[in-house]
Amino acid sequence: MKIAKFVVSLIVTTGLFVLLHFSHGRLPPLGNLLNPFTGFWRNNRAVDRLPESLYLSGLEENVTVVFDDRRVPHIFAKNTHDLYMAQGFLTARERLWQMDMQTRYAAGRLAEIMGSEWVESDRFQRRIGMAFAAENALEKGMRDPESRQVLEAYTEGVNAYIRSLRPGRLPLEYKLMDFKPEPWTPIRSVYLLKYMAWDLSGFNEEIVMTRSRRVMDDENFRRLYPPFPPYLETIVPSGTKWPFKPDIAPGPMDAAFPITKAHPIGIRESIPGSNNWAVSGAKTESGFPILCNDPHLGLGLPSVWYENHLHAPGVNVYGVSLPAAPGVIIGFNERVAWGMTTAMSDVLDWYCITFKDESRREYLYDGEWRSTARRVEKIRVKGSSTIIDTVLYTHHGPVAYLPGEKPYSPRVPQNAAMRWTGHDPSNELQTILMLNRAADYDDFVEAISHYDCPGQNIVFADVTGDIAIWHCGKLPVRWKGQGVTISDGTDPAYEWQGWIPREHLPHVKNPAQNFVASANNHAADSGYPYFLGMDFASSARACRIREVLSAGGKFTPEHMMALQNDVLDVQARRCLPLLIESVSGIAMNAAEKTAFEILQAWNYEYRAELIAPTVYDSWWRTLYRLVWSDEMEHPEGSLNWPGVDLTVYLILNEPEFSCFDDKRTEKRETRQDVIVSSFRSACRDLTERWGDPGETWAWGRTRGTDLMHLSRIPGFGVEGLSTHGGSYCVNKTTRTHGPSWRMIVRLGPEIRAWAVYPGGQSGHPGSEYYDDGIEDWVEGRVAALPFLESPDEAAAESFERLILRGDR
Amino acid sequence: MKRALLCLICLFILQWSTPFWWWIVVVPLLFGWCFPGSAWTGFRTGMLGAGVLWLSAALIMMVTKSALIAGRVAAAIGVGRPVFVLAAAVLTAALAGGFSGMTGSLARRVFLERKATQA
Repeated sequence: MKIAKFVVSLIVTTGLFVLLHFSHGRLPPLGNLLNPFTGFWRNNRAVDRLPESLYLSGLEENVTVVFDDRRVPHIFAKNTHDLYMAQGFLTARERLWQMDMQTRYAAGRLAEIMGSEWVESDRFQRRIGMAFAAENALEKGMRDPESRQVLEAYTEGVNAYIRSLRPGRLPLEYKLMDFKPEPWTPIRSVYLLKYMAWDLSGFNEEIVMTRSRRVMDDENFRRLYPPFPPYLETIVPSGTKWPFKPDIAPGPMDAAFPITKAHPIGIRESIPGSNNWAVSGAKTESGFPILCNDPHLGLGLPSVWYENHLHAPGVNVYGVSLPAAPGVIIGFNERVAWGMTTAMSDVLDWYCITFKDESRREYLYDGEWRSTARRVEKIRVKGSSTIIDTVLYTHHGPVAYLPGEKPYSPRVPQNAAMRWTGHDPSNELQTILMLNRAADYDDFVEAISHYDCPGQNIVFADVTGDIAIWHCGKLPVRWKGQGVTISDGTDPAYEWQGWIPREHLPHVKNPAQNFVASANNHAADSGYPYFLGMDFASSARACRIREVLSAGGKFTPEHMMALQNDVLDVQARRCLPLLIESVSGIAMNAAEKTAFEILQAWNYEYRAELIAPTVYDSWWRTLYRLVWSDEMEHPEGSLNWPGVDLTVYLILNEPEFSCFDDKRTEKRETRQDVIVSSFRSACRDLTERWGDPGETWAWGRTRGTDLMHLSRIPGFGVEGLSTHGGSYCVNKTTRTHGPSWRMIVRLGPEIRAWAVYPGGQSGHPGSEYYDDGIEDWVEGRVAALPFLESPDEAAAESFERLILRGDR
Repeated sequence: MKRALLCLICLFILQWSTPFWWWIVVVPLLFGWCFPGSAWTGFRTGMLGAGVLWLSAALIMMVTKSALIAGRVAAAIGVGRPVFVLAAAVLTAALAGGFSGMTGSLARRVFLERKATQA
């Protein structure tokens, strides 16, 4: 009996131990997590407590760090090494887990910590050559002495923090996900830059465009996919004369290749919504330029950006950095300010490959068989055996997926090699470091001449009054239309023909209009001699920015803040009057009548408290779908849904255009028919979903914005924010994307700047600074940034400070 | 009760100075093995030693600095309110400590005391 009792008790005890000590599925090891001495309890507000000083092995001299009231560190170092070591240390102190996760994701190393469900994500990163890209970039970066010094010092700083971590202080997500940080290496920083490069230049519509090319006649194809759509707004003023005529070989015109129909792609997703502009002193109250930038990215917590001020001999720069990468990406120094939007120029083409046989050891090119290279990737998997994945490389680049393999992303074709500038050796860090130290326009131009990928529109202003914008990056020379569809990988005629010379890149300095601006729109009009692709965003935002900046009067920073928060939808302003007129005479039920009256009184503003944006948005989306679905949902698979600007133009100007007829019905529908039926359908959908028209239809409730946690841990994100803004507004806020940083810089003898971002400086969910900026961001408020000259100035008196003690 | 208090003090010292949660299994087990008593005594010693320690430590954290993070973790592990996370921690310690204490006591009776009887 005693033995039986003992055995039962032993089994229960052992069972409890196993349950508590190990992770089970998504459940973390509860013993560790709940332990009040080292578990999650320790990841509390104490993470915000700063010691007076800390010894950092490897630091040459003392570094003074002043933390302002938004927890932004102002780092005062006495040499370059210490500056970036301190930046690495402080960034890791707030964001280590985020740095670790994002770079693991880019490197295809999530399965090793999160198990087999991440294998396909990891495989994808390996297949698109992220490691290949990072290795090439690191090699080039390490050849530049300054980049090398900065990367190594930053790495030292991150590692100093990792070494200082006691088990109780391990960031909470490590405890929840049951893994530990490994020593940081410079390539991790490069992975982060490649992660951004893929995010901002890895998109394309080549599969769907190839289908469209194949099933449409020439006339329709050209009409539905104009390289320069109606309502065009360009970064370089239209009509600019270009003083060069490049010699570009023409391409074959039968560029359509068979592809599978396995991967339908719906309506094109809304692409990024970044804006930047600079207004010259002639248009500002102060007489000095004002520069603004709001880069839009996927939103989440911890925040994409880490705000900091770096001060050392030769550099005094303030702005935002990407955790894991040294330097300041967007910001200002004592003399210049700069900001970025994604250029949208096409730098990724897919080449259909003809292999000799099933062994795929050789592929056809220019009438000869060439050898494929093989790169063996080892994907370690938690709780399972390592997966060996061999990726084939042609001279174009990696063949991401072979016939019969299911691509992880529907935008990646099978049996095609990828030519992406992101794979080429590059050193974007060099540009960042040079921008951080730039003193004038010439320094700026020199800095961006080293910038390759992802292409960016970089806006510039300085204290002497210069303003400029450059559409910059390493951009391939192509014949018109090249790379829009999948290219023939056997034919040298499809090769890129070199690079657009840097001095030929679209740019403009001190234009007569006294402002420069970009909003992911076309860089130049059809007079520009190089073909830049067809991935540019709708001109709606650029149009609104031009409209506001062209107005008379003198601008102040407050005007610029208002423009960043502008929610007027130009596209709705163009389209809605006709839509309203079209339905004004029809018989309506109660909900339709209310919706109609609300729209009639609408001022086209996407404000969170209004109902009209909900009605219009739903109506527009339904109308767009009704116009195109019969043509674009083709039996062979989805075609490329035409652009919004073209659709608006056709609705307004070509009532007889064939796209209004739904070819799936016997009746011949007119423009009037689709407008009416889309209105009815939208009202019906809204009523079914949100009840009768009323408060539940408010835009901030029906659309809302979520800042999900990076690993989607419930409770660690913020959901359902009632935000202003819409897809075609300057404030392009959607459910998942939006302005990730709003910055306004007024140049002049005393530089003043304001900014806000959705989140907070700390990546620790237990910190007061984890999400403290969200409310201001939602309401469109910005904080004045203290650009301290020294740690001892009066403005810094109330701020906390930390001395990082060095070896000397 | 004195034994439970001694167990709590031992646990506190070990937990304070090392990062291992499993002292709440090991220490009650050793107490059960080393000190004669019934299975229930072993259970009670471990349950009170570990349970009261974790309750007080977690409660202090909760009312001082950890309310926010307790709320987030409650959502993360799907238990709803922060107080349930506190309850989960106490329950964990009480059960792990209690059963290991009982196992220690029973082991002592099976192995040590039987040997003594046989001798």
